[in-house]
Amino acid sequence: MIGPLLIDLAPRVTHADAARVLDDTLSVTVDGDGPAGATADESDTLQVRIAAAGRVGWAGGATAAAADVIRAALRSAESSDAAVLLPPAPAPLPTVVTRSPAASSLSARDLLGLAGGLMDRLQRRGRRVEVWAERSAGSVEVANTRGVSVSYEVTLAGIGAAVRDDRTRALCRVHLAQVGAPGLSEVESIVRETEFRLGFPVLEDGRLGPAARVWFRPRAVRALVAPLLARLAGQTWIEGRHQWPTLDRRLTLIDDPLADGRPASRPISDDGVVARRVTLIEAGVARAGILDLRLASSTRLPATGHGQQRGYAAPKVGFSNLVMLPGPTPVDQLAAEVGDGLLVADLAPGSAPNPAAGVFRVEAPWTYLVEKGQVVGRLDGAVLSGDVFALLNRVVAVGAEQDWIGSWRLPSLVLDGVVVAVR
Amino acid sequence: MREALSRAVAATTGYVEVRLRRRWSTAVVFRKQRVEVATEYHAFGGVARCLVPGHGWGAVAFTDPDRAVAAVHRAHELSLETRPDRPIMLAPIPIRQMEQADQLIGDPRLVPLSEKRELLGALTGDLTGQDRRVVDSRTSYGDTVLETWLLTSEGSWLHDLRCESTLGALAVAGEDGAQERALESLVVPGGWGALGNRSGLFRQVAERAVSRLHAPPVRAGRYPVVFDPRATGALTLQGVVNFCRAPARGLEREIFPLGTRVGPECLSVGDDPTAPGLRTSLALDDEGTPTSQAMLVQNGVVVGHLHTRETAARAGAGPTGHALAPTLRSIPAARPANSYLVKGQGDFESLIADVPSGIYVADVLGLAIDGRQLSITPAVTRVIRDGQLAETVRCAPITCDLFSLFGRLDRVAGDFTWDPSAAGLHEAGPIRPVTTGAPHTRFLDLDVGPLYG
Repeated sequence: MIGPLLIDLAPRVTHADAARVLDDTLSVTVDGDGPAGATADESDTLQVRIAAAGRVGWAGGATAAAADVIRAALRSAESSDAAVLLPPAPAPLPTVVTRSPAASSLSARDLLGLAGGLMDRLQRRGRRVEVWAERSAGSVEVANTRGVSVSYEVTLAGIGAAVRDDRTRALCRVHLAQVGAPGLSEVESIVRETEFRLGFPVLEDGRLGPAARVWFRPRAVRALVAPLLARLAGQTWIEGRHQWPTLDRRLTLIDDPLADGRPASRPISDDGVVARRVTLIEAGVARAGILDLRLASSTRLPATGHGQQRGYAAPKVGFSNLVMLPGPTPVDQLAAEVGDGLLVADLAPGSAPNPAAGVFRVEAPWTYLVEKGQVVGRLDGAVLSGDVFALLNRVVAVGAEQDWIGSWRLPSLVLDGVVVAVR
Repeated sequence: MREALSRAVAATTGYVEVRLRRRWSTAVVFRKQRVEVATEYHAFGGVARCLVPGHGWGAVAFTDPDRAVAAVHRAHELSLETRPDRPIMLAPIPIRQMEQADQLIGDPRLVPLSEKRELLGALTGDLTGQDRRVVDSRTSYGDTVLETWLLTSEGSWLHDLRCESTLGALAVAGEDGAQERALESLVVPGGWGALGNRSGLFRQVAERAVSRLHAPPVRAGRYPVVFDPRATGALTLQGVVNFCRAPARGLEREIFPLGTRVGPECLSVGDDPTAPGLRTSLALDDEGTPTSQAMLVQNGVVVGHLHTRETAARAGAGPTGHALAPTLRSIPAARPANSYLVKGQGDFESLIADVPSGIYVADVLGLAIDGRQLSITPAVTRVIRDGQLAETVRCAPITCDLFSLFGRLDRVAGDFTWDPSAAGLHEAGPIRPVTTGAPHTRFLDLDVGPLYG
């Protein structure tokens, strides 16, 4: 649909590109009163970017008002400062799985069945439980005036639970998302994680030294490494790439849009650049950052295929799937590596280190005391602090097993020198 | 539009509600003197909700206005798929039909984007030219025209057209390796011209950033802290009002139970969507309920909650008209519109007169909530010494327990003002704007941490 739009537009502009996203998301919730509601969200949005007379502008809106969006993009270009946009020519696309027919066909009844099954597994006296399941199905269409015209279908399905323990007031949230339809193994995974987190007694404080050795499980690692990403993206990478701190040699981080069946899998970026794997950090050394087309055009550096142009949001650079390579330490030896210290299963929602400085102080409600290699109980009110860049140079062990958490595939990390306090 | 919606609502059974919104908006952003964004949006969003007796909610959001009838049918089907153990009831409401779509004064849709860019360019020049030590800046202009149509199967009808204009300024001053920033925003109801001449505001932001450059740091410790009305409003919104919103379902939020003491006698808090002249004031909420003033805390004790029709029925309370959706296509939930802390007695001078050593905070740069911990980053801080405002100082974030903060409230002044800056409730997902109003307040024994750098 957007190819013809751009053909009409071509004589009036130097270059133009566009991304259309069509989506139908169906979600259900089940709580203590049973199935509470089912919601569908149908959206069809378009973003158009135009380079004309040495300026670049963009506009976004509903595809139903495509003509308005194009007019707004033209006016945006007229009102913008001088800029360059060099869209790519067509190129062969890699193969990557972005859609699952089974997920696409999930009905409200199917989702309620899945959610109800998870509810049955988690519900018990002394708990309040809420479960949800959802699937989205749609397509992404990307085109430019140099002849790129690509469309690919996408699905995403997820299931999750929030469980409040009435005795401790702890609220545990766990969810999974993937391209394929969730099944029994995903339900089991959520049950396992929830029961682990809620399964230990809450300990009194006062049993900690000031700086601890900490086993961060994959969900906690995700929040911890956020500062690395902030410094690997766009302008920040260009400006700071020569001042990267040294990290532990066991750390390798890859951006992988070509991983099959993951939330950020794609054959092409929204700005028309063919997707490829990018090794961001290799053996502790920063090798590459990610650039979108706009920044690449202005700096004359190669675009890495990380432009995002969705709906009403301004075009930006963004990561796809992120994979941290595993280490040699089997999961059953990680507690032994900790000895006397802590295990952190997850950080509080929204908690993340300060992206600019790497200095952080976060609440860690899912923190467990480890004594002589054994988890003995949960610490209520734990607060962790430190400098992420320093911590990632004090790696004790990297787990041999990785978990997919949404678009992240991560191992466990055991780190030394984390400052821990208990509120 | 009304006919089309009536056809959609009549197409099925049970309770049906269809809301359509069209939004035209402009965004211009400068980074220093360079245009970062200059664009216009034309967005459309609709939501059809259906509640078949004995079943759960079915809802369909859509972006194509031609999908309204189909969306109602699908919402009906989805409602039939769910059957909660406890039936969902809706509290009865008076049925109102309101047409509030008068022609806009200074309709911003008729003003070329280039003129808006020119306006912001000039204001940016005022900011960046104020002092050579202003090393970076980010300024913004925005306007929005929002048109809403709401029809329910019970007969409620709303057609509302409104617009608002926004300015924002961030200045970063730097000298000798030190950097400080200052921030200001302004949102006014009305279109082109409603903002008036704001050169002074942009120059003040630059001055504030520069004045902080060589300000001494506050010594870490515990102090009495006097907050200005804007800072008080922000704290009231996050620390009280947010916990008086009846949750639709689920476990996502804690709520203060009725009868809980959350502060001293001088603390009274409410929300008044009917307050005249504010950009977030409303006649009907997003379920068609006539809005009303709701008292939430009276003399320190929780006396009410903000409700939707569903939460009101569940609580056996009357609906308050606070079912509000944050985006064009989202489902309404209980949210504040114009939250306020009731004024007390006396003026600002009397509030600081008996403070031998304290901190005065004017506005906040940010409120961060991490679990139970609230971290307040002051925008402007001055020392209070021997009952008088003294020098400007730099202050580290003030940290406290979110739930016990208002237990430290000591005095409330009588100088109430509504805040014209852009405020919003901290919650996951899109944020709906809220106006806050408050007087100066004094809190005892707040913890100011050490300032690094």
